[in-house]
Order: sequence, then structure tokens, then C-alpha cells
Amino acid sequence: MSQALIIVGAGHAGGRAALTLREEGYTGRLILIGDEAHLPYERPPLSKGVLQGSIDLAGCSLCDNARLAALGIEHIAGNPVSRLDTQQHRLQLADGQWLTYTGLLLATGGRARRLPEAQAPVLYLRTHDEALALRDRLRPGTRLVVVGGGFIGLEVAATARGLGCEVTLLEAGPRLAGRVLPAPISAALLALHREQGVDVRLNVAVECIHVDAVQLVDGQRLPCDLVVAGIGMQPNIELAAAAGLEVGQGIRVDAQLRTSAADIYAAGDVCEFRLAGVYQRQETWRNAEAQGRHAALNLLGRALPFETLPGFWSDQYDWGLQTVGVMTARTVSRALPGAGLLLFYLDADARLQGACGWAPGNGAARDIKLCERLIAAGTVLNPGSLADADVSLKPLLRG
Amino acid sequence: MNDQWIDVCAVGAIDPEDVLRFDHGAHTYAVFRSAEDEFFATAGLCTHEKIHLADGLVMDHVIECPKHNGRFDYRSGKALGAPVCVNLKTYPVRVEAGRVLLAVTAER
Repeated sequence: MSQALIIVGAGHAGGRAALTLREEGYTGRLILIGDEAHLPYERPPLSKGVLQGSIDLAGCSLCDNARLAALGIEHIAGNPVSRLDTQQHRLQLADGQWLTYTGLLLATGGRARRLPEAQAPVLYLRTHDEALALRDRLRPGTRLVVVGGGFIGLEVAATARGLGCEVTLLEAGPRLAGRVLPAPISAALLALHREQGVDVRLNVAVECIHVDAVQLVDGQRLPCDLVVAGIGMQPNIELAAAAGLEVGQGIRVDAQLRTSAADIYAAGDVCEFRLAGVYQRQETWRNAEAQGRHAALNLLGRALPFETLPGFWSDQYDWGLQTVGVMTARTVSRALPGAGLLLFYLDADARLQGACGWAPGNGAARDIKLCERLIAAGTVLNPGSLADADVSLKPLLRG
Repeated sequence: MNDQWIDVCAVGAIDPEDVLRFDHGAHTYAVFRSAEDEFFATAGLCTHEKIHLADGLVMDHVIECPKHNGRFDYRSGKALGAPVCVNLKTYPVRVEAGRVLLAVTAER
């Protein structure tokens, strides 16, 4: 049988895996199957540049058609996989045809979680087409209600303000992005959004979405023209689950990103892997990039353990947030230029475990990169030096 | 070739192993000073998503883009692997009387 590697899911992780396989010298048949009509693209611009109209699809694509063709990557769009047969090492497309694989990568991503309370149309933002549909509705003066104070909701709110919309943002919890951000950064986000004219309401629950208003549980009624919900992602695990692969909150993999079937790997938003002993998914650009690449190497038999530091960024108005590593209870804080803030997270021995920076533009990027290297180096640090904005981090790294 | 030499800054305005953003006309550049005190210049925006490289980190002879960690050798402009695959343009730089000068019309 001739060799064929198949990637199910043509998003960032799947696309990166396909490109990596060719860069690493794989010359056999390579098939990339996606639900969307588009070439693989990166999602971060969707809630910012694409929504503003300053970046088009080509601007966020991993490659163009010519490159895909030159690399001999067969891209199947609009003919989704309906069934996976792990015993026979084959999968079936919606049109009935079977494809046999010698190795398979599941990078099926996820879809925007739907609001159960919706009795009227609600928009979501996960795909490029969803971003375009939303962009068409964001006009100066549009009264927009954003449900969810996580990153999608916050970035949509920021972009919509820039487009002249009147924005109300509803968050069920006591602070913004509270699941992943430290309290001082949540507070800074809240202050910025309010300063920019967003009506942010915390600790509120939606009772019902009507055509012309959002009804809150406390009885308030918020008249509006448009509702967008950013309340999380539902991982696309159905194909894997139906095929009998082990799934939890995602497709479960071992340290090499291998699923419970020996010739099947998973990567990206859908992949549930152990990080510090705990199964979790990482819905980030960084993870899609790293796991897509890593799974490709292991499809080629490298058997490399996936070791990663989590990290993400978010851009809102003219401010940027950037994180790396994990939060701990031992925090040291330093001021960054322009009223920014850099938080260090240390273990009991004063080794860096994580950092979170908030600054105008990309003002925190350089320090976060140095923090990433300080974490990897395991250097014991002096908390007093970390707190002192006049102490450059680079010499600390070089010890 | 008709190089037009533009004054960028004093030599001391860029630390060793660091970078400075320099805007001139409609263009933006990244001007580097190596740990060995040599000066280099490249296009100012990352070839991946047009982010200003000067906000990134310089380690040895590599600039790492602030957003996506795309890495370039700033001496040659060479892209050092995914997610960046397009090299940076580079520009001649020279030091004269304590000033850093950049040739903006030449591309190599």
C-alpha cells in the first residue's frame, strides 16, 4: 500500500502540520481536509484586523494556493469527514469515498459555544466567515451587546468601539477574563474598557435574548441592535469519540501527542494533553503552532515528547497583553513604561514559573520573551531585582 | 547605485545587542547594534504579520518578532523558520563621526 498521511482539520494546527511535513522531507501523499472553504489561516486577526477591515483572508493565511500546489498538498474543502474507522485505518468523506491512511492527525478544532438563552439571532466569532458576518453589522451607532468578558468578547468590544458602536459588555463573573488572568490585569482591562466608553457590567446573568433587547436575570432590559456572544469553545471531538478514541474535554493524547490509537495524533484547540500532570486544552495561537509542528514530526516517527510553556497575547485598543508560563501564589510586580505592568510568578525557591505583561502596544513583548528564557533556564532570581524597573532582565539571564 | 545616506541617531542611542525603530518618509526600519559593535539595518516590519520588529528581543544576531516569535538573522535578513518564511530586506549602514547612517534607496 502506498503511504498517505491525512490531516483532518485545515485550521492553523492542521495547516502548520502539513507545511512541516513537507519541510521535513516527507514526499508521500499528503491530504489536508477542512470544513471551511478557505486555506489554513491564523485566527488572532479575526477579532481585530479582519473585523476592522484592515486585514483580509490572504493576510492571515498560512500559505497561498500556489504554495500548497507546489508542495503537493491535496486540500479537500467542503467534503467533510463523516466517519473514522481506526481498525481499517481509513476514513470516509461526506460524499461516500474512503481514504486510507498510514498516519492521521486530528486537528478538528472547535466551534463557538452557543448561548442557550437565545430566542433571537446571536452572532459568534470563531471562523473567518463569522468575522465577516459580524463586520457587516458593526456600523457607527450600532447598539451592541457583547455576552462574555473573555478575550473574544473583550477584543470584539474594543474593535466595535473603534468602529463607532455603542457597546455594553456582560460578564457573569466578578472580573474580566478571570479564569486566566491575575486580578491586577483584569482590573486594568476593566478600567481601559470603561475609559473607552464600554458599559461593562460584571456579575450579571442573561435571562433571555430578544430581537431588540437583552433581558437580564435581575430584571433589567438592555435595548440593542445586535448581540455577540463569546462564551467559549466547544471542541470538535465527535468524530474521534464515535471512532472509539479516548476523549475527555478534548481528544486525549500522550506525551507525544498520540491518541489512544497508535497511528493517530491530535493537535491544536481540540487536543487534550497533560501539562504539569493535569489534562487540559490550550486554545491559543502558540499552541496551534507548536503542536501542529510537533505532531508532524512525530507522524514522521521522531517520537519526541511535547514540552511546552503555555502563553498567549491579546490586543485591545492600543494596549497589549502577553503571558508565558503559569501563575503561582508568589507574585512580584514591576512597572513598565506608559503605566504598564509586569507580573512575575515565582516558585518557593524564587525560580520564575510565569509572567504576565500589560503595556501600550507591544511594550511588554521583550520582557515576556526574556521571562520565557528565564523560566527555561531555571535561574534563581532576586525578587528585589525583579521589582526594580531599572534592572534590565537580560543580564539576569546571562547571570 | 545612488544610495541616499540618512542620519539615524548617535551611536550611543542604541545599546549593544539591541535594536531601534527608525521611521523615514513612508518607511520604517529596524537598526541593530551587535554585541561586537557592528551596525545593521533591516526592514522594520516582520514579514509574517507586519509587526514592528523593534519591539522584539535581540539575542546574539537574532531578532525575534514580538508577536509570533518569528526569528531573523538581522545581519542577512534571513528568516530562521516557521512561522516566518520570507526574508527581511537589509540596508547598508555606516558609522561616521559618531552618527549611524542608513542608505535608504539601496536594497540587497
